[in-house]
Amino acid sequence: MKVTLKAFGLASFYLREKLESIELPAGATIADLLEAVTIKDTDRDLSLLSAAKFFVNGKSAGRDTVLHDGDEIIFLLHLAGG
Amino acid sequence: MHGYAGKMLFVDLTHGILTEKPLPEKLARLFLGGYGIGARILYDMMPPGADPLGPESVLGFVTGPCTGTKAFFGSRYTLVHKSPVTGGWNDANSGGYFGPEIKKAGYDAVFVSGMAAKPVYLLIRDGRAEIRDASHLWGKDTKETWRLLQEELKQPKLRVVAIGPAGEKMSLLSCPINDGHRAPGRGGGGAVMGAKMLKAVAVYGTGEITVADPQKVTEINKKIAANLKKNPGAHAFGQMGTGGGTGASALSGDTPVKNWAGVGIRDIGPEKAELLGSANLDKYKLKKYACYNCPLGCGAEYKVTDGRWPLEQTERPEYETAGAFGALLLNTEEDVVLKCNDICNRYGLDTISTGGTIAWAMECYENGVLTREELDGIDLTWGNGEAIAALTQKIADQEGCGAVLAHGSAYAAQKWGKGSEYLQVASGIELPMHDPRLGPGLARTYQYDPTPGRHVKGGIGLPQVFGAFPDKYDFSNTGEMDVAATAAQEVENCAGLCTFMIQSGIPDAKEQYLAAVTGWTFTREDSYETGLRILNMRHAFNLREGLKPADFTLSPRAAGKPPLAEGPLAGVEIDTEQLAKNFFLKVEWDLATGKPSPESLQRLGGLDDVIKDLYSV
Repeated sequence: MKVTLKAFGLASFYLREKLESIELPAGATIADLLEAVTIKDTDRDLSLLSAAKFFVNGKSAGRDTVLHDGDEIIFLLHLAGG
Repeated sequence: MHGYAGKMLFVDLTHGILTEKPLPEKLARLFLGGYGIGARILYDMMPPGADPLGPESVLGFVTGPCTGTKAFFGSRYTLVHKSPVTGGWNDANSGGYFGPEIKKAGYDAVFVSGMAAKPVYLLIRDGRAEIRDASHLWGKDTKETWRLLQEELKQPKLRVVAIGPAGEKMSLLSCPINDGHRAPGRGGGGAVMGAKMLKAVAVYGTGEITVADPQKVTEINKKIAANLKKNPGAHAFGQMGTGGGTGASALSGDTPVKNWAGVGIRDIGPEKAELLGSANLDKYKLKKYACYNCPLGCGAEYKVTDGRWPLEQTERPEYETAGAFGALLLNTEEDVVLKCNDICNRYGLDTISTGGTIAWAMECYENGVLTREELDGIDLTWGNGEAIAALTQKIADQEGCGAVLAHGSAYAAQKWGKGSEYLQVASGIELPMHDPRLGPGLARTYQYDPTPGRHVKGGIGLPQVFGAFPDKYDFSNTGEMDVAATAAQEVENCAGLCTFMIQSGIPDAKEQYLAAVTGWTFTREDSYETGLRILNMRHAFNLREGLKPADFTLSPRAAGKPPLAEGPLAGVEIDTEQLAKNFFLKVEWDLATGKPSPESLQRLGGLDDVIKDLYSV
């Protein structure tokens, strides 16, 4: 199946490459999507990723949310605002 | 004494007297700097009940031991005074280069009392201070004032903090601006300067602040620089600034939407949310801007060449500004945010409270509480960019309805006798742009911190927003964490360090820096005690003003009362009473009277007079 991904602001700095359309196996979850698209460099501090938030088709979603063909996923990470 | 200039300057504007006093080591050890020393000094100098805009009011510009040293993030100074907005203690800190310059000029702090009979500015050059006539500067904006003083004194490196016309007219939304665009923005400090007819403080210095262990400071710096390189978050922050998260925050529920009643994903949507983020705004970027000795550099200079409001030289809006003039008003027009930010920086206005005041007026207008006629013909509908810019200008000029709104939403509701049900304030000051419904601890911080309504005050709320504490909606047993986080923030702020050092990747970076800079032992236990002492000092100032816990209020909407029906924060209702109880119990403050236990004050030390004031009959 194919899903679209929009990474906002800070979240885009955690992607391996700028991807908008991603091919995933049927039954894949948001956790699987993250595994497929985020950077894996073990030398880097990726702790902030644990605070990521998601919407699927405009509704709040979690890492275990199962994705479907054509879903639109928003991937958010906060920057401390001042 | 390493890390300190070793002197404080006291200026009596009524009598034109300047007095220099040594900074006692005991005072520095107990209260560190910033608002720690500030609260201690103002408690001694100001009588209870003093009018914040009267001659007994004292205003302080206070640095910390790390300010102006080679320690990364050491750019901050704090403005301290009694707030004409909340009627209680007030502190607001700012980065840039002004704070470090005060120390290079020979002082750790400058305290100003009395009132001048005509506009003046304070000039400090390498340990020589004088009060000068500022009649020719009165009416000028903050950037023009800075430029004119540099020219007049033939000193291009002169650093200036100045009020603009808003502060001169004692707008309660006003603040001084340093370096042309950095602001200790909150709580009405501009009005306090305006009342004193103190147009500006201009500083130039060539001194150097010694540190106890320069090699250790360099080592910490190197470690932080290496950590930052490995952190994509820090990289993003350096590239996009605080405004990089604007779009994400509007959708996640971090940024309040539509005067705290809206839902970003529904009312703004993903397509428009990002329009106010740096990814879009940075098309106007001329160059990067970093505060003194900052390895991140979150600022940027902008230039807008065309459109409705061309701006020859302006700045990238901070997150709080983009939130307050953006999602809070349902506005997604970037030029409106840039224009309003520019007006606020030039006139000297707090962007958070100005945006919050307009949001209140918008909701009043939507519900027929304020009419178009009362708003001088402005059609103040949600997201109407022209209307937002026009009203901001009216507030800056105090023209028409702006003469009332220039003093904030709580003042306007009282003056006009209506609309109080739409206020989103803590103790009368507009709330900042992080939503307690996403980080529930913020409700305690906003309501009960001795400086209410601040996102830069300590607690567990912001860590909750940024992902810590998975059980954040369990309101039991928060006291210990809340007090520890509060004490830690007190120390960071008062050390003169920027709160964005959180990106450093070293959990005890501030303690390491403080030990290396001062040469004192500074364990985390020392840090905790110092933080609590400073917290109690600010709290004592409020208690002496007669303020009790019941006087500290938070508009219910921000605590989910009633809860939102939709969006990521749907159904969230915060048990504010439980959070407060947990905090008060741990910090040993009485819930009804607010009084700290005498034992806790005795244990912390340096507060004997406070014990006497609170417990002598």
